[in-house]
Amino acid sequence: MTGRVWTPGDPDRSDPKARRRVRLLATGLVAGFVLVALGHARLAVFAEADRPAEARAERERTLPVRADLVDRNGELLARSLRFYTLFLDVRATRDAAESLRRIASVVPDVDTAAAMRRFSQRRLGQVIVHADVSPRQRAAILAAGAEGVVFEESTRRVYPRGTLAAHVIGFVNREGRGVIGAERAFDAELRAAGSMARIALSIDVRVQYAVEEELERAARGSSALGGAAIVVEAASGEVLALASWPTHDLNAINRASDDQKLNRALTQRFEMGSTVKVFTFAEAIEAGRVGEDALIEVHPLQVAGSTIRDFNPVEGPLELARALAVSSNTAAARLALGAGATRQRTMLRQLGLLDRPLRGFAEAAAPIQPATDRWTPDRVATIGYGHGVSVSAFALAEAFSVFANDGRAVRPGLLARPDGLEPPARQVFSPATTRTLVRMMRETVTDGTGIRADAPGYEVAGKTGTAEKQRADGTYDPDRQVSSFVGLFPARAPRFVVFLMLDEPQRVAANANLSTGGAVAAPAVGRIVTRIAPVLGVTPRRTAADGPIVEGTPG
Amino acid sequence: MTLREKLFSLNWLMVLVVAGLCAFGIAFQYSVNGGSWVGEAGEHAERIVLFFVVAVVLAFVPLRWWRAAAWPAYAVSLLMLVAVEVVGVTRMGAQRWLDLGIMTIQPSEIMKMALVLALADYFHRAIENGWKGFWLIVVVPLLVTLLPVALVFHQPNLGTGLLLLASGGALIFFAGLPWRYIVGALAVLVVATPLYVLYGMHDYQRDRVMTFINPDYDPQGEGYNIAQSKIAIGAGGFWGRGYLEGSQVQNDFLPEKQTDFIFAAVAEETGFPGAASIMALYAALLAMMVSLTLNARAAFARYAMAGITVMVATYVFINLGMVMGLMPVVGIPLPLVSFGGTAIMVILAGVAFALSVGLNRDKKL
Repeated sequence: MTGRVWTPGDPDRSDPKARRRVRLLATGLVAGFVLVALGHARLAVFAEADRPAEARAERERTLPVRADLVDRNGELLARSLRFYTLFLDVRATRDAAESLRRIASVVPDVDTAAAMRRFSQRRLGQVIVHADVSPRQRAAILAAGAEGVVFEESTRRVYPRGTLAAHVIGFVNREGRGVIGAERAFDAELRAAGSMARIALSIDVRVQYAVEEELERAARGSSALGGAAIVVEAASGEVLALASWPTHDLNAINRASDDQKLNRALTQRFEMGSTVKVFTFAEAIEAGRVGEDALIEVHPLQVAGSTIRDFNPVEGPLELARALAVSSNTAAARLALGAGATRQRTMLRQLGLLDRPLRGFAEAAAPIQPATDRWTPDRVATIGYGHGVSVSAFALAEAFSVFANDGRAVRPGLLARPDGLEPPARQVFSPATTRTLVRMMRETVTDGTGIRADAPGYEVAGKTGTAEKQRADGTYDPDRQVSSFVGLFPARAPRFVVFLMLDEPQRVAANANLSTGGAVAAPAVGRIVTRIAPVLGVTPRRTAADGPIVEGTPG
Repeated sequence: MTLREKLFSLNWLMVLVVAGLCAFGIAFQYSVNGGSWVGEAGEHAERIVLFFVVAVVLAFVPLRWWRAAAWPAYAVSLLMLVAVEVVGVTRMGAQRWLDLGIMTIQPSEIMKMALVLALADYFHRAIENGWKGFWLIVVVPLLVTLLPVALVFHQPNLGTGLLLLASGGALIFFAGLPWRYIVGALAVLVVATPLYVLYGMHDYQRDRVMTFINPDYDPQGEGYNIAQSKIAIGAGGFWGRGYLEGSQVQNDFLPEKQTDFIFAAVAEETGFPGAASIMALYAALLAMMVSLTLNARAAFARYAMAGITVMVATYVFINLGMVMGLMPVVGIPLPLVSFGGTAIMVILAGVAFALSVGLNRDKKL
């Protein structure tokens, strides 16, 4: 090679350097052919597996057969059904018209003309005849002796109860994967279990049905934007009903609007207002800062430059039970300030109000809360009566179940719990404190804001909540409210928690032109208790309906 | 040479090999079309027979005519690429094609042949005139290559752009680009590309690169195609399942079976004998092309043959590698076998040129 790189000269004279490089290219080509020949041999000759079987397995892999979803009593909620796509194999069919006639005798809605047209265009392979043939129809088609038929098996998820518990159950996508709800939260289990098994949710369809009906009645009756309701069995943490309105039909999910699909019990968060006061009262009694018989001032108070007032000011001082019964903001603010930021936050965390509820449910929203270093006295005071922390309806129902569980906090779940299995629990309040609060909440129902929640004989205890919603600028809008009632029953030995919430109920004549929790949510809870208590084995106590609470065993 | 002598000395072996590949293509277009000529299979057969005849006739075009056509062809292709950009703005989603009324063509495909001819002419002149130095021998040819490459990348069509870059780069390489530049450029590429993709890009840009490399970027979809292709090849085994008997092919499980994955159909239905025959035919065609590259007298012919050889080889190896799952999915057809219009036309033009070089091997230019 000369020192010069490019050799000028005769274009007709061969260039030895270029020749060397062309030979290099030729070597590369040979190597390339060896490589692709080996690549082919690797796939076609040396692979031992039964390839057609593998091919079939590969296609079936995309069509998992999911287990059934049932309620706690085995009532079917969701099932995967087999169906078949029907083809005609072109070369195996001697007389397509005759085969199609026999198919049509079983499946009348088959488009014979279209199938015949497709058939005449091909000489090989298969043409589709019908996209949805049941196993029974398949057997009948085979029995009818239709020549050349080929069936391809698929599965489809059906929800026999349509709208019932739609938000709990959720739905699957075209590939059969859970998108939302239990279908998503338990997707792995449902797919692993297969078609022979079933997964039992904690829901009781009888309770769920009553709750949905009463929620819809309350929401429509008050022209609310939407609503949510939850029933929890406190000791086991099992959710017996979880409803969101408006709802949708799971079998027509494509026609459901986003508003209908929104799970208002899990996804939406609100400042819950006065229902939170019971926790503030309980903490003060638990810590021994006030006794049950103590009197508390209810005149306006100044915190960090702003004034806290009561909605319906009364002359104080009041007994604690009265202050709760009239839902005094100033009393709750005073008790919260007595606790201070750290104790308040610790309590809220132990109750689960500062965490995302319901593990596995992606739609369960985490609460909105101030950062730890922003937990200032004015916030402590407002959080004390339900403003400043926004939680989901589910989280509030979960926290409230301590009062029906002797002060133990149990994290609720949507799977049925096997009998005799004690859920993990944490003692947040003493049994004595919770009994005191239950007595006070019973007074709220017998002689306070929650009077319309009473269900004669079932001794409902509870608390109303009416919170104004924030405007975009942070101020509160008196015309847009979140109205709720959280209750438990029976008060003598509480077992069940019922929470119902309405988003922006309107002041209508039927509700005495009121839109407060006591006016719109409490009556619905009363009706729910009346309907579900017999189902849940709670017997009414007619003599003690309005009397003092008597300790005793439930029905 | 009289026409009679020319007919006699035409490289009939190459004609036969190419006819064999075209026959494979026709046979398997018929098979993947469900054993029917109606529609694409018939269209393919008519078109490839017409192009084949034209290619054999073009073989008798003297080499200096090819050479004279080189730069005009390059200029027209470049103009058409620009036109595609402009018209593509008004015709959304069809930026690669240009509707000439009688047929739609892909200017990027025509540019492959035009670029090779233009660069071959350039290097012929360089030797003739004693052009020297980095600028004249590397930078100018590189610019001639990168101009259309940039336009094709912008369409975006990375597959064709890379093919153009490969043929143009091959010519510069054969013209004697010193190894130190090659090694240097490769080193920079190898080190810089992953670094840039990993650290220099936002997530959405990285996704775009993936989409750029493969317009149908979708991990599941892509995995599915390759899986089905490999299953089809495996299902064929050594002897194949028989012509028109492939269950993957005939039951529509094999995706893109008329174009990118036609080889999987060949392998499923005719097994190793069929697959090996196709590979042997390509090997024979490429061997004859390499031989012409080495033995043609005129520099123009040698350089152009080198570029055409690299072009055909790149098509073949990228397609086969992809179908066998040895390479990522890049939408490149198997020349002469896959369904297609302009691509077949360009490959057959290359064959016509090779036949012409064979007839004029000892001609001065």
